[in-house]
Amino acid sequence: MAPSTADSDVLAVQRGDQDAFAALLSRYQNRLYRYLLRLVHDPTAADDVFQQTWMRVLENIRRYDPGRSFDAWLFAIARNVAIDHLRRRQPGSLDELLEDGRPLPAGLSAAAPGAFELVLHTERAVLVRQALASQPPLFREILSLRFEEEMKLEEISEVLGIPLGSVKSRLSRALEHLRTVCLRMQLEAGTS
Amino acid sequence: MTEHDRIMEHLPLSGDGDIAPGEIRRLQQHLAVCEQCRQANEDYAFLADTLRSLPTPQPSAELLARVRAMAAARLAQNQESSREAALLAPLVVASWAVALATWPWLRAAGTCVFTGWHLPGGSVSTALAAYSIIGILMAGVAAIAVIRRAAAIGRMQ
Repeated sequence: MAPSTADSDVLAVQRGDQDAFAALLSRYQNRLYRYLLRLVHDPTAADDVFQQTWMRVLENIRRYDPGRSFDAWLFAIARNVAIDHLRRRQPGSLDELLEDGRPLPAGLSAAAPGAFELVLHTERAVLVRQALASQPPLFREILSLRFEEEMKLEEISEVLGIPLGSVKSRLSRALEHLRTVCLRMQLEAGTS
Repeated sequence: MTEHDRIMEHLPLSGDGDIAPGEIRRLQQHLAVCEQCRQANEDYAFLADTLRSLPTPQPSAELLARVRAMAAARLAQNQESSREAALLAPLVVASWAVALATWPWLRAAGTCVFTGWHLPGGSVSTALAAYSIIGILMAGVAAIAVIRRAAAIGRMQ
């Protein structure tokens, strides 16, 4: 079977081909930058991490196994660089990055129905964007990988280095949390 | 845990086929009779659609230019390291070959030159063997040092 364009570019980069690197960068630049921005949530930091990621890719490109998914390999490297950055900025366990620490308003639970039923369709996208921005980093990350990058759960498992069951559980919690935050924002907007 | 609670737990993953096929039918049966779960299911579907259609932020042209420039330097250095490695390997092998090939001659020459010498703790042949081993080890250490230096320069860049 003939290698895909991305695969042949990667093989060419392994041989030191600068044009192939330019092609690879062009192919992944927007997706990678979006993922990093979702994760570190700061454009300046995202710029630094983006640059460091590509340098790390070039340092390790000879060790890349063409039998693996390049997407998963690239995003796993990006994730490691971003997590190092987040740890420097906010020392502590990664689990802390999962919680935003804000209690839900009284009477509001994650299982409450109708988060969007009172909001006009055009306003919903704005609401979701704001709610996403307020999510803990690891929730933003998994939502971005699943819905923006359209990765399969198995690929996400490879990127995050966690079992498939943990991916499902984290994705489920992230969606539930996002919905709850949307509901809370809607409630707060209604009472202000 | 009630059936309703269990379904609520599975709902976030149901919209994208991320639950087991056996669960789907069970879920659909419950949604047909539970307004709360049906509403939540619609919310999750809407969230998934909205997340997919969010605008994609773009890296700046300056950032991309910077990455390309650094990559060009790094790739050139990778090629230089490859050439060094390709040169070093034959050098180390050659030093071994020369040491082995000259060993009988060195031994014979050493025996002539050092006849009558009484080296402390061993014979002339032991001294020559030690000399060869030290030479080979030094060549090996030098090769490793060159490779590590190249790697360190790469990391700094």
